[in-house]
Amino acid sequence: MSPAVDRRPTRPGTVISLAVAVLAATLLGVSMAPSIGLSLPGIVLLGAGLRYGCERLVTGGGLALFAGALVAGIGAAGVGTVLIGGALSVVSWDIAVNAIELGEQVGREAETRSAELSHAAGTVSVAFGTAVVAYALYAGVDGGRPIVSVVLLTVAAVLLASALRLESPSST
Amino acid sequence: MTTIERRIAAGIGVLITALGVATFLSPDLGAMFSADEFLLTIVGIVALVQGARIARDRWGSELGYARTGDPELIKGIPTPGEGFDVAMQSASSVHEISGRDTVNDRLEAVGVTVLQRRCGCTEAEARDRLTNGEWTDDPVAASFFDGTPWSAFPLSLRLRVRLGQESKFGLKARRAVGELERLWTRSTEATDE
Amino acid sequence: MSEQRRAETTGEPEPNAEPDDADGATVDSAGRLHEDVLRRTGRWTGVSALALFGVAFGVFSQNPAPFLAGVFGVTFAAYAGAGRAPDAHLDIEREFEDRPDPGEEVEVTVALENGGESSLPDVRIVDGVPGQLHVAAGTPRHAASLDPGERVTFSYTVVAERGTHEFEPAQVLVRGFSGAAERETRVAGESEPLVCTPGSLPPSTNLSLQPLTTPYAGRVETDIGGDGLEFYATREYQPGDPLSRVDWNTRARTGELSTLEFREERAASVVLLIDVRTEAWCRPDESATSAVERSVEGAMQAFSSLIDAGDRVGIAALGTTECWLPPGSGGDHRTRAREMFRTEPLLSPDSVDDLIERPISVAALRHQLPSHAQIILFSPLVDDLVVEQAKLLDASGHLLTAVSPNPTTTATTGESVARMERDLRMADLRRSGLRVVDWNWEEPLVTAISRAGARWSA
Repeated sequence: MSPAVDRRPTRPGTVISLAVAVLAATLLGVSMAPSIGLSLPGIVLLGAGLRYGCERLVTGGGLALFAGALVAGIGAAGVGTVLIGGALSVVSWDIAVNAIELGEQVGREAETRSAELSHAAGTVSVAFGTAVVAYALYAGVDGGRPIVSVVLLTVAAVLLASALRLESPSST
Repeated sequence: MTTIERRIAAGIGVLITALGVATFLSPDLGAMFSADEFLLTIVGIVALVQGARIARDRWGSELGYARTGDPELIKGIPTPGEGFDVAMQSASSVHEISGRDTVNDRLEAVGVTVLQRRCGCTEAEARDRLTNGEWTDDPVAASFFDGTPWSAFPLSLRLRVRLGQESKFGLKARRAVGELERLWTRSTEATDE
Repeated sequence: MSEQRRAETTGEPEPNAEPDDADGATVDSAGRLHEDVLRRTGRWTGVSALALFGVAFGVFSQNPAPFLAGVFGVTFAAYAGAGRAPDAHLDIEREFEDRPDPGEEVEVTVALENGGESSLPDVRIVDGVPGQLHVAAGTPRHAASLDPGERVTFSYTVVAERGTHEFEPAQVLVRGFSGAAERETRVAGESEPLVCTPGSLPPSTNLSLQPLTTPYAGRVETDIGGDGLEFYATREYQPGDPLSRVDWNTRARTGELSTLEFREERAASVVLLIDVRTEAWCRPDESATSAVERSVEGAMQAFSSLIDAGDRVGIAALGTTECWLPPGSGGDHRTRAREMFRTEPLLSPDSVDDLIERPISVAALRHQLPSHAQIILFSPLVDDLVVEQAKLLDASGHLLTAVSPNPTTTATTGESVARMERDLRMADLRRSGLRVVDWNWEEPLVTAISRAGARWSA
């Protein structure tokens, strides 16, 4: 009788996260093949992180997937594809990290499906809401885009991102 | 960034966004400002650097979720021999000497008694045997009591220990315990006590 | 957005919430207060880097697509920054079988209900299994998403142990959708403690304890009169026998002198001495019960068996004179013994929580013991002091037999050493002429004794 709790990442999260990651990689790879160079290692890192319960590996994997989306954007992929690819990579990463945290706290044996699904629903709605709005803004505006506005928006984005930058967690 | 700086940066960011959107929507406004490719590249580089810094910070930080205990287990009751294991652990660290003493004392006591019972020697004879290393064929086990220098052992063994998890003190102790156990249980059925 | 850890109390709860709730805090079985702890998990730390990378890629490639992809960095950073852990009003109920027998598996079903008005998307619970019980099957942990009024149940199985076991407050972690903030709280729940008391002494299996207790050869010169004397046998007269015991009828008939013997004299007087000192509180692995508990179980079986065989049995605890039942026999005595096993704090599994070093005072014990009473010592023999005391007791006229549950294993080096040390102690006792029954952890006492008995008669 092994009394120790199995604290590996929970099963539902692992399955969903990997499935979503594969979906993202496929989507991006179909529209721009070279992005596989980033997406595939991303999936591998994600899988390894979920196997060993290592959050850093999972974050690295998520970043690689997202970079794959960015690279696809540089290439031939359309804005829509890139947005969906980016959304999927963030969702996949978040579900994976949640699975790891749940595994640590509650263990693999426990029933966690409804909690994981509701968390995923939150992330998915934010991700796809963003994608839709961004696409609408992009597609909705016709005509050229003056350089100046691009510069200004870029500077604004940098500033906002730095301002919204989150701190590391407080000590327990 | 402190909270004030944050707020200012966010405020400026919002303003610039508004400006950017305005020039986006009405190109004439944009014509009033002139922009450079050079400037754009600078902005790009700053963004990259800042992004890298943030990512590095994330890499270094630990997640702060609550840890859970182990209520499934029975708490507070030790297993016999736990103290010995703990002492052995602390003995492997170079700076802790007390663990070593515990391990030495206990193992010596056991060793002497086992030899007395099994080999029929007196206490003094048993001690002699331990210090001479005559009690066992295993040189590593013998070296726990007889003080053979570590360098006398083959390089392959020393290398394995160096690369492995166990310290050489731990290895010697473990082997000595194993040998004493073999000696003790070997003839338990034969002897009637 | 900077967060410091702050201890926050839950709002004033409804009347059916946790007890001892002066300001939202929960009290656990040790009387410690728990207040809610709010934490930022930092899961989304650094997500804004995505926006910056997007900007950089977009600028360098003059392509709007990566630029746009960066917007995720901004929205998720805002999502996380706005993330809060909701205030939780949770109720817990636990259900389990009443009054199980020791060693029986009991299924505990926990019902968790959201008693508040806000939806809790992410609730994680680790139930407070009593400290002395271990979980044999299932898991006391669960995660769920609860709407207001929604209830979820899960269950796990524990192995019942003697005693009264209080459940600890469950550790509950509540999060919002984003997972950026987490609130840790304790929920005591309404449940009775798990009470397990053996209803009666175990039935006397034929433990064949006779090899352990030899009938007392001598006699006590007392004025035995009155009831309760049961004629046992006659034997040849020996000089010194009291005249009141001479069988005058036979003498009148045949002229021979013979002496009557009564059952009371033939019955052995046995004291079961149980080792309850700190050292004896040990166990072979993390899911096993304690050696003291095993000793008590063995003593209960021995008590049944001996008293049924007509011996006079008493109970004592090593290291103290507080726990003491003088040897006796009969139905009343049996009841008294049952009560003692049930209620005496030193013999209960709960006493592990406040163990104190008990000085062994063999002199005091000898004072209590009736002269020539035999002793059966129940002890795991994990330290040297008990061996010394056992030898002393034996040498002072109390024939001592040791029944020793074996809590040692050979899993680690240290445990092997402990095993050898115990083996050596048992050998030491045997060399001093005491009998030792080595009782392996998993086997029934009957087996251990018959194995030992075979050895003694070999």
